[in-house]
Amino acid sequence: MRVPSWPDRAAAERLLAGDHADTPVGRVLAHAGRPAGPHELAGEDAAVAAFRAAAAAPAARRRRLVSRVLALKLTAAAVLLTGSGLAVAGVTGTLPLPAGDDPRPAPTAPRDRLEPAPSAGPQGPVRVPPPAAGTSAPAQATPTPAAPTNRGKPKGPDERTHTPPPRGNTAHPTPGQRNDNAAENGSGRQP
Amino acid sequence: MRVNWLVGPTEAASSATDLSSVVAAAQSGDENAFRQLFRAVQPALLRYLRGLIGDDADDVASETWLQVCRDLPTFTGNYDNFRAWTATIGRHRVMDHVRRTRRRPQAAVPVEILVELAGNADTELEAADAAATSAAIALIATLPAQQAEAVLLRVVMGLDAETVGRILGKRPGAVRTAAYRGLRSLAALMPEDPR
Repeated sequence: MRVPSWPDRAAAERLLAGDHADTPVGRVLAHAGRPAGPHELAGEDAAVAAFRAAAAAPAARRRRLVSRVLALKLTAAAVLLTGSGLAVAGVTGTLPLPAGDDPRPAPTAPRDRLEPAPSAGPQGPVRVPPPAAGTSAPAQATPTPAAPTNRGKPKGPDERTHTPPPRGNTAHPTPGQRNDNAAENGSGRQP
Repeated sequence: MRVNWLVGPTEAASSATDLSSVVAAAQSGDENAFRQLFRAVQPALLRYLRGLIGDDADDVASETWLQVCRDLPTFTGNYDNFRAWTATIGRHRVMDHVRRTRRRPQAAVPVEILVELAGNADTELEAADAAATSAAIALIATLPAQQAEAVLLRVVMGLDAETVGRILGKRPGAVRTAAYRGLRSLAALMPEDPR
């Protein structure tokens, strides 16, 4: 590449200041620094919207937090509902498994679930299905429905599937507390 | 329309258009003042960013304005400081962007454009102007990064060597030297003068 004799340092400063606009380099710089065209302001509305949003930020942030907490609550509720739904499905879904000919466990399982724990307690160990299952070959069929019903009723060691739903439903105060905390955080961030 | 508001980077750079009071108004939440600042600064900012990062400049400019909006209440200074501040934010967003995308801007300028650019004195058409401006930015972007940035900040953003030095973390003398070398490199790329 040839080494140009021009510009020297002083000329370079003048070029940067907008002089020597009749030289090739001067023209390039003039093009680079020429007044704006409308297409260069394309982002204006978005920027102004951002400005507006930033100005309203404290309130908006608080609102967003609250709605986020609400969303969390809803998600939690949905999860709990789905959980209990799955639990029901788990109980009832086992019915087809024993055999197509044996519909009786179906009513018993949900009914047991709805019944208070004490009544279910004794039934658990006894295994509800046997009377029905006793007629048909029970050995493999009965344990399957019995296992979930056992889990549901006694609040014993295997309560993992069934106990959460009722707790969650009665535990609505907890999300409420969370909400308060979030609101406090929101206002705390404001300044 | 917007035409009334067209403020070029060069005009914005001159002390004649001191928008310091507008900066203060925008800081107190005046939307129109902010709009005025945007119109004054955005074209230069966009060109500067385009010189650094090419086609992703629009995205980075948006990110820059988001941060400007967010941090404007805590900004202190006049209009010159504001432009330097905006350029600094833009520069940081470019670095984030490069880190994120692991992509370096690559501007290749066809020789014909260079020749035309260097020889073309004036054009009336906005499209031709825009093309010439883009080509000029792309051409400057082919310089070594430090030289390109020094030239862009001085010519496009209209900042003086001291301010550019603060943005780049260099002494003003180093900025002058980088720009000087950049211009010499440009001159070497250009067709001979008589042409």
